[in-house]
Amino acid sequence: MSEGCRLVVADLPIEIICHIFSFLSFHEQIPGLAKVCRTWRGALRDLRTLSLEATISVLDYTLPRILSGYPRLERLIIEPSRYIDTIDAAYLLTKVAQQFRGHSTLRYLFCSSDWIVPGAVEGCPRLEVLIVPSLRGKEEEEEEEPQGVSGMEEDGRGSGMDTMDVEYPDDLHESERRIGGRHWEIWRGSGMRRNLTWIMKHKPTLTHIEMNKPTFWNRIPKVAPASPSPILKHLKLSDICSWALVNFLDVLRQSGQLERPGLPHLTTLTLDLDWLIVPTNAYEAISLGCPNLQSLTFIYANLTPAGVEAIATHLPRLKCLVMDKCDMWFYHGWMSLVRYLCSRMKELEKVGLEKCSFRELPLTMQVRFPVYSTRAGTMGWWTHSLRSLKLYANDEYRPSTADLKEVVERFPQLQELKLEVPAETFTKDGIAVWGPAAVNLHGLKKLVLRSGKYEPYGTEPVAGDTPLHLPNLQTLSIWSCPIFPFNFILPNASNLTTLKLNFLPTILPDTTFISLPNLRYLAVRGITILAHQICLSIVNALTADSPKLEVLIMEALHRDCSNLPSTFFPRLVEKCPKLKVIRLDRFITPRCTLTLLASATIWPDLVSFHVWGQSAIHGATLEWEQTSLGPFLQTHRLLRSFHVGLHTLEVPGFELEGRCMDEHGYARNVVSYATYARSIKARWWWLEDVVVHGPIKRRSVADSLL
Amino acid sequence: MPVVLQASDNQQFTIEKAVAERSMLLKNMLEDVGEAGEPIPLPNVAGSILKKVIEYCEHHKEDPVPSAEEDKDAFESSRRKADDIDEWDAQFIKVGNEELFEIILAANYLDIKPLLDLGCKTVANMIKGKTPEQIREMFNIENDFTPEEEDQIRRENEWAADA
Repeated sequence: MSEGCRLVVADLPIEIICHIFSFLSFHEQIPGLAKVCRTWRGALRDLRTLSLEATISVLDYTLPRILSGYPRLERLIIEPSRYIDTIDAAYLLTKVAQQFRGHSTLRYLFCSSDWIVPGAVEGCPRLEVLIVPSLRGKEEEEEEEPQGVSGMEEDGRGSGMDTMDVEYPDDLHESERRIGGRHWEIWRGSGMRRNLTWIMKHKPTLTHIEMNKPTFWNRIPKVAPASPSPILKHLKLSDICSWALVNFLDVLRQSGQLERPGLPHLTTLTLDLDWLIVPTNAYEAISLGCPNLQSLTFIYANLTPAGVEAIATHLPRLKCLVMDKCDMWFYHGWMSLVRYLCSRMKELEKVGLEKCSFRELPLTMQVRFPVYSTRAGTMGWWTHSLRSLKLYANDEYRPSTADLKEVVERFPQLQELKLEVPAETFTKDGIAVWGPAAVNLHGLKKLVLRSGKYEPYGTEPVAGDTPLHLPNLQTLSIWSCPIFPFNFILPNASNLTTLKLNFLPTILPDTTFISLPNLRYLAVRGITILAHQICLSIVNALTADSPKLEVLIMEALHRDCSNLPSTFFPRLVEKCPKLKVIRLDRFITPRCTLTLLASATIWPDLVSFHVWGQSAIHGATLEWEQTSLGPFLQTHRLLRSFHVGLHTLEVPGFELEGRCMDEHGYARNVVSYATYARSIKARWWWLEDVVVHGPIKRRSVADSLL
Repeated sequence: MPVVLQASDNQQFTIEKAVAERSMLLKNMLEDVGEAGEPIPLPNVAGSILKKVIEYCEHHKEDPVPSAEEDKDAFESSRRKADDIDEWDAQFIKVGNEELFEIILAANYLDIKPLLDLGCKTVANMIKGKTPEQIREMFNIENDFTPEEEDQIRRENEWAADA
C-alpha cells in the first residue's frame, strides 16, 4: 500500500467538508475543529447554525465580531447562561442582545430578550422566523431591562402607542432604508420592541413569529396599495395582556371587514392567554382576519358559555383545534363536546383537550344544542375522518366506557388516540372493554390510555367480544391500569417501538418476559413504597429480549432510594447493547458501576447518562474520579448529558459545609455542587450538560437524626 | 430498459433504469439523451466504488424521492442529527476511510443526496468527541498552522469556551 495515492480527508472539496460539519452541533464544531488545519478553519466560516449562551466572554468579544466570522449563518440562537445566577444571566442576555445589529443571511432568530428585535427588523433582510419567548422559569419577573429607558415605555400602552406613531411619521419611510442613527431611538421603549403591528409592517418577509408579551396598535396599518401583505404563516403569542388582545382582535376584524384580511396567509395561531376571557366575538374576528387559518390553539384561556358554539360557527373549516388548560362550557361531559365539534366541523383532523376544566351550561342555553345533548350511542350514526384525538381530563366529565366504544366506531381513521379513561376500561385480565368495533382502528399508530382512581369500580367490567388488535400500533402508553396489561402488549409486541408504563401496581415474577424485537424506547415509572421493585421487575421482563432498545427510563417516584442489584448493569449491557439514553431515578447504583461501564465497547453510542436521586452514586472522591468517572467518560466520547446524584462530595477543592446544614450551609453546598459540575464539564470537554446534586436533606429529617 | 454504466477502469455495469435514477445526474442524462443503449462513461468513479454505489441504489430503489418541500422542512426542524442512521445503511458504510471518502466523492458527483448524507454523517460521527490532535491523526491531516496562527485561533475562539 503506497502512502502517496491514499485518499485523505484533505482531498474532499470544501463544500463536502462543510456538509460534514453541518451534521455536528455547534459545540462539536467550535472551538475544536478550527484548530485542526487551515482548510477546516476556512470551512467553519460556512457554519449555518450558531447557538450560544450569553456569557461575559461573549459580551466582551462582542456579538457583531462573533457574527462577522460566519458570513453564511442562517440560524442564531442566544440563550441565557446556565451556570450563573439567573438574574445575572437575564442581565447578560439583555446586554448581548443589545449588541445585535443584524446579519445579512440570517433566516432564524431565537432570543428571549426583546432587544434582539431592532437588529432583526433593521438588519436581517432575509429573516423568516423570529422567536422571542419568555425567559425560562422564575426569572421571568426580573426580565425588566436594567438600564434607563425613555419615557415612551411608561405610557407605552394602548393609546400611548398611537401617539408615538403620529410623532414620527417622517421617520417611518427612512427607517426602512437606514440602519443605525436617529431612528434607533424608536426602539427604546419595550412596547415598541414587542409591537407586532410595527414589526410586521417593517419586516413583511417574516413567516413565523413567536412573541412573549406582545403589543398591538389599535388601528389598521395604512397599507399602500403596492406594499406586500404579510406572508406570516405561524403566529404564537404568549402572556398577552387584555388590551393587546382586544387591539389584536380589532385589527383582524376591521381588516377583514375592509376585505383586506390582516393575516391572509396565517395557517397556525397559538394564543397563551394567562386566563384572560376570550370574548365570544373573537372567533368571528379571527375568521375575518385569518381566512386561511387551519390550526387554532388556546392555552390558559377562559372561554365564554357561547364560546364552543362560536368556534364551530365561525371557524368551521379548521383542521386542528387544541385547548390546553382552558375553561370551557358545555354539557354532558367531554365526549359530548367532541361530538358536537366534529359534527359541525367536517374538516377537523386533530382535536386536543388537555387539562381543561368543564363547566355545565345553564339549562336555558342547552336548548340551543338539542341534537348533541343525548348521551353516547343514542343519536343518529355518522363517522368522521378525525386523525388525532387527545382528551385528558381528570374530572367527573371524563369519557365513560360507552364513550370509548363510540370513539372507535365514530372515528375509524384515527392515527393517534390519547384518552383519560375510567379504571373499568380494563377487565381483571387487562383487556380493554372496547367491543368488536376496536378492530376498525387499522391506522392507529399511537395510543395513550390514562386510567385513574377517580371512581371506584361500579360493576365488574366485561371484555368485548374480540380482543383488541391494532395492527399498526407503534407507540403504547398506559397509566395506572389495575393489572399489568399483558393482553394489550402481547398482540402488538412485534410492532411496538415505544412503550411507556406508568404507575402500574404489579410486581412481575422473575420468570416473566415479553419479546419486543423492535422496541426503541422504554419508560417505566412506579409509585408507592413498592415503586422500586415494580420498576425493576417490569424492566427486567421487558428488556429480556429487546435488542434494539435505545432509550431506557426507570423512575421510582417514592421518597426513598433503593439499591440496584449488582447484576442490573451487567445484564443490561448484555441484553441491550445499543442503549443511547439511560435515565434512572431514586436508585442507588452499586459502587463499581462506572468502572464496570468504562469500556469503549459498552454502549459506544451513549449520549445521555442520568442516575438521579440522593446517593445514586455513593460518593465523589479523588480516587473515584481517577478509577471510575475518568475512565468511564474517556471511553464515551459521544456522551453529551451527564446527571448524577452524589452521596458525598469529598474531592479536594469542593469541600462541603458539613452534613447537617442550616439554610446558609445548604445554599453554599448547592453552589459547591454546581461548581463541581462545571469542573467536570471543563475537564471532559465533550460533555455539554452536566448536573450534580447532593443528598437532599429536609430539616425535619436532619433534626430527628440528632 | 436497462442502463449500462462504464467506470473509469472500463468495467461495465448493467442496471435497471429505476436504480440508475437514484442518481440525479443519471436521471437528467437519461431524460436528455433518451434511451440510446450506449454505455454511459463515468470517468470520475472507479469500478470497485461504482459497484458499492449501485449496491446502495439497488437497496433504496423504492424509497420516495425527496422533494424540495422536505428540504425546507429540514431547515425548519431544529437540528440535523448525525446519529439516525438506518441499520442496513450502517452496515453498508462500514468501510475503510479511503473507501468512505471515495464513496462520498462518487455520491457527490453522481448527485445521490441520501448517500452523500450517509457518508457525511459517518465522518461526522467519527469526528465527534475527538481533540484536534486525534482528528489529525485519524484522517492523516497535517497541522499547517504557524504558532502565531494557533495563538490567534485560540484568541478568536475564547468566547466560545463558556458560551
